[in-house]
Amino acid sequence: MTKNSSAGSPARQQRVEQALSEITAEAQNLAQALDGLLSELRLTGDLDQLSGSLQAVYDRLKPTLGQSPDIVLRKFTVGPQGAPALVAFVNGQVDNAQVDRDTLMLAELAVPPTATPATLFALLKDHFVAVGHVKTANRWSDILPAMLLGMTLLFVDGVAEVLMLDTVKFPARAVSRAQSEPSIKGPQEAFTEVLLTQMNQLRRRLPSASLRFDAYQIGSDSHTTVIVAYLAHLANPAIVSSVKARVAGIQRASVQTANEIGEYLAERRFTIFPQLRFSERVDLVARNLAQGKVAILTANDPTALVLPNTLMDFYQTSQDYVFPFWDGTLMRIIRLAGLAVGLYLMPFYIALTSVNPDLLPIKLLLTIDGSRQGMPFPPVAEVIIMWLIIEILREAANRLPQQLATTIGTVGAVVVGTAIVKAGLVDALMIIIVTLTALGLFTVPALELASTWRWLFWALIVAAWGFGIYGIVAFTVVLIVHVTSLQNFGVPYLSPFAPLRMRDLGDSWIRLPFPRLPRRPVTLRPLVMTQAEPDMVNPSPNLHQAQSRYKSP
Amino acid sequence: MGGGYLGLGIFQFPRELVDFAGPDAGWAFLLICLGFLGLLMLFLKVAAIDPDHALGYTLRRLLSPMVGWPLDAFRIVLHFMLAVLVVANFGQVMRSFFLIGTPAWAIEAVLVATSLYTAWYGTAVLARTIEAIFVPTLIGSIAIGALVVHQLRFRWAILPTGHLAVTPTLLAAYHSAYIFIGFEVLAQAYGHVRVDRRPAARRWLFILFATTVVFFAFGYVVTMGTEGPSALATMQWPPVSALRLANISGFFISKLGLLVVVLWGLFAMAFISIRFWCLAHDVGAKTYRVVPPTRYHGALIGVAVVVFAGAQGFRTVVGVVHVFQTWGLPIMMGYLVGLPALLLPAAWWRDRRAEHKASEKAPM
Amino acid sequence: MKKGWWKFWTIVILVPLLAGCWSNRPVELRSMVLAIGFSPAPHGRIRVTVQIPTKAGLTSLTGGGAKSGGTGTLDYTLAAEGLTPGMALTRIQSNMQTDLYLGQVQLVVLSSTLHGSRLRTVEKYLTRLGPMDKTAYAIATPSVKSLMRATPSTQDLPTLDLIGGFGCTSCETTTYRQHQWDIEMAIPTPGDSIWMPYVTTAPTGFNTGRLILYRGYTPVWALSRRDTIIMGFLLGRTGKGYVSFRAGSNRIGLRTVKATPKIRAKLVRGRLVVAASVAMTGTLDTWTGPALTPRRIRWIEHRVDAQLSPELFQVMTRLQRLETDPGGWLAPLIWRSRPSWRSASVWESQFRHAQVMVTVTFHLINVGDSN
Repeated sequence: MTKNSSAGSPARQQRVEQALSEITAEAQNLAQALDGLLSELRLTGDLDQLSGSLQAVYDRLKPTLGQSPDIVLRKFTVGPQGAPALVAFVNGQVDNAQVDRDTLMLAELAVPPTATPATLFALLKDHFVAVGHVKTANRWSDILPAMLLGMTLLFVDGVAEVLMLDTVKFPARAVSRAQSEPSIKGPQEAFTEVLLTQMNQLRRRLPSASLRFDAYQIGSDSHTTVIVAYLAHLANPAIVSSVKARVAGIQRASVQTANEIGEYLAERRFTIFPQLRFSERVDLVARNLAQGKVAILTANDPTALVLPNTLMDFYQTSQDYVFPFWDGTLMRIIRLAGLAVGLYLMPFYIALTSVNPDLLPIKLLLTIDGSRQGMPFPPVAEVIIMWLIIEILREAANRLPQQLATTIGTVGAVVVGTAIVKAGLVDALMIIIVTLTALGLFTVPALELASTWRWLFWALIVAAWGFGIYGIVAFTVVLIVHVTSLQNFGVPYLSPFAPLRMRDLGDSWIRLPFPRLPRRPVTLRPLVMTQAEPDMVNPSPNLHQAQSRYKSP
Repeated sequence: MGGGYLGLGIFQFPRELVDFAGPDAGWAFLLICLGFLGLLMLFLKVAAIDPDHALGYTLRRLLSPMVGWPLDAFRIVLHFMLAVLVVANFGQVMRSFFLIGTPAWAIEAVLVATSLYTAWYGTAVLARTIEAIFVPTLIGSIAIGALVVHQLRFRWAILPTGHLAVTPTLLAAYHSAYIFIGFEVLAQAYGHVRVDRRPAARRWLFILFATTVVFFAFGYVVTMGTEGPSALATMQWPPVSALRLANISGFFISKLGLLVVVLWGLFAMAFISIRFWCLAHDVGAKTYRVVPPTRYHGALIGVAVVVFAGAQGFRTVVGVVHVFQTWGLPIMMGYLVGLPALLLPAAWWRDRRAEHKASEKAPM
Repeated sequence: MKKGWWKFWTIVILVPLLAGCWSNRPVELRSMVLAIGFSPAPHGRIRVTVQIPTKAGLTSLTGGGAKSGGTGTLDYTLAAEGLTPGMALTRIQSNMQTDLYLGQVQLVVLSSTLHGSRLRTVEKYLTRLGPMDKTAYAIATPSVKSLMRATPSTQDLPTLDLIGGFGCTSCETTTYRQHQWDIEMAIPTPGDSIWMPYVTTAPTGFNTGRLILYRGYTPVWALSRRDTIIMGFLLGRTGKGYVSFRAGSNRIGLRTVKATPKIRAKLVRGRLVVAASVAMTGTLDTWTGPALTPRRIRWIEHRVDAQLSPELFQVMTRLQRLETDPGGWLAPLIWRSRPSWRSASVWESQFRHAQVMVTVTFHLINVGDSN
């Protein structure tokens, strides 16, 4: 084709030839695609409409999607008359065995010789029972995403519809233990990435007819399926409908994680307090559903969203419910103590050593004063130093594999801690307080709340540094006001404390025995309040005989 | 709506009581309590005249705009004055005992900002926050007070004498009336309570009043018992000084009594935030009690700025007390007695006329 | 969000953090005054002495009870004179590089030679001083200088050693501690006089166990140890009193003698009557007589009554003579009935002419494991 090029080395000529052949190929593809589009446009007058011409379909698919190696497009014939058909699927997204079996079966299909394409299509549609769903569609905008999510498409020449066979089989991992919310005993099952499995896991725990899964497709590129799950007979319909409305309203190109959904659902975008509880534990989600809450499952993310939430919800774990109530109560109180220590110990230390030393007992003050002699930095600078070290160690441990993380912990705690005191940069008391603070803040069971407290910790430090205990108290009031002002789908965030809901206090910082918790949380306003009959005294007509030898009457 | 009125009196009580009544202080206290119980009832009646409209509107409608407008403006000025006094007083207390090196404006700015934020989200949040803060603060103060109970050296001064000197007792009651001033906002809050819960709210109001009476009685006992009548009368903030004596060993904080200053900052904060809320409603409201959020927030910020600026006018507590005792108290008491005295007959007259008209119309 | 915001916040946060402003001053930058002393100086001036722990003193407390860095003296004193205490303190401050911090004063030492208007100035000053902790203890001593320089053999910080006993109610014979606020409250109260422990120094530390009484702002009587115990009975503050005397041929010794006094001042036909009825209890620890019987115990109790009544009466009449009322016995009467008595001279003269009655009722509550 390019005979007349002036001189030029052979290498250059080769490059030119290659480029030209690429352009040619592209042009051919384009021509093919345009052919497909044009023929369909000619037949239907609509670019989105399936025309029924197999060639057009092929022309349309082959040069675009068909370029990727994972897309399989196969033409074949069905029945004795050899009606042309086309199978299209994404290799790897589908169950290959199933597709093979079905294709074989197609070959053996007894098709009456008089069959028109339409009757053939109907026959095919009725015939597929081995696969899950069989749907038909006739718009490209529906067909393509379905195929890319694992459906197998079956086109028959002359039919302006396509059969979409549910042959989805994602590469999925097995159900594993909940890593981020460990529990010493009780159920350990965690969600997987596969939405269907998630739903199955919930179904198994709540085989109730009123368990609803309402699906939404979100993301113009990702086509992520999002499921709104709830128990229809008890979840407050107002909450359910507003959750649904908000989920449906999300307009976004791509949704990959549950958090992307979650941040759309939060009522106030910028509040530092988490509005949504994320959990990978099936039992926790199931319990919350049974209380009248709504869960949101996101495809490809093993964490479910639970809502609406109160602050208290973030302090409740599955473990509280698998241990006797005394244990559950103790654990929660310890978490509260951990919060108090983590949040307030350091600010109080700052306030009492820098602003209000008059409040300390003299001996403690002299001890602190003694340990601070010759320190180059004010207490607040020491806090910054120590906290930076802790956060860096923490982040380093997060990034490293498990085995190395332990080493980092040791290095951080022992080596850096000891060295920094020896070097005289930070006083020994500060090390104790920083350690207690870090430990205290790590007692938060919900990860999403941990960073909240870490931010607020700094605000408190600044308040304490400027105004001492007065600053701490004033900031605490601001905090209380803020938390009280929060509402989560109409549920006050600080309930059951403000507004006070006496009935709900039984499962707050304490946990009463289950027979003494006959009601679902009032604050959720579920349709059915009672979750247990009133606590009956156990009938024991014969028990007095249990210790003697029992004689049957 | 908890203790919106503790913020004013808590720092000074019972200085004037003892100063004026001498050994009859107990009787004077009883008199104040009874008097204010009566006023509380009257104000509830005022609030019930027309719970759906702003008080200013009711004033204008019942007493004609000529009287209503100035009266309404006067009310607003009163609210401002009280807020300013409380802010200034608290700034002085903090500066004297707790944050000695910090300028009063900074302390007051924190107080005003906190109160502003408390009032920011409106009635429900304000009520809930105060509910959450009020009870622990009250319990905390009483616990600290209990620490000094064993130090009551002047037990003999607590109970009043058998023979009553009338004039000093009345004077003392009048000059100490500040302890309950501010309760009238509770009556104003009445309109914001849901109709079906109003009887309960009314009951709570009385319980609250009783709690406050008990609280002040406790404060009186502790202050009088530890400081004695003569020393007490020489102090600016007798209860603060009394509770500063609370001291425990074997704990991380030994001078718990000093914390009381901060703790009562919460009362002051509650007082001011309620006052802000009221003012923002009064300034913002035209006819109805409900104010649109933008206007409410705008009014709130304006009110806070004015109050903060006003508080800067006082450099020492002497000025605060002087202004309050010479101007604030008579005006406030005049208002408290005058408002029901004007409104209730007017409302009664209106109802009677309405009845009259109805009966005139009925035969037709 | 504007871009410049982070700069603004960095400045807003960092500047105060590093500078430490307003009330913010880390403890190591404050000179902790543990004891503050006031004594008279020439030309009507007041000498103020402050005692501050040294670095050795501060580190002597760390590391548990063992002394770690405790080399050298544990504290140092600074003194200055001025017409007012504040003036003197300003002079002290001007000689120091750290902030003189009065928020943790544990001990107020008043010289027993400080009296009249100068003591009044000192007390007014202390009352007005906001940061000053009113729960500090107040004592009187003949020499502030030597008290501040005393080094107790326990090798503790001297001030902490001295006030250690005040903090423990059952440690001393007489709980005779007085807080600064006790003094401040008693001064304006008519019918109440101030008193405080009277501490002198000894080579081993401090000599305690005595009281000093004031009439107005003037010290009038430094009690002996024995009188202090008796005074303690009258004030209801003696917890470990000891009484021993010979009854006939037998010796009686009683320990942990406690008293619950009821002292009432009342007007009987225009004359002031001060009636003290003191109920006492104690443990028998010495008895050389025959075996104890109920009758004999009653006899012992009567003997104790007879022994103690005059002693108490003697102290009472001396108080009367000195016109001082450390128990504040007259205060209720003055408060309730006699506005004209509010002036000190009136009630003092009334007190001087009052009729005093003392009744002692003693009960043995423990005789030990012996008859």
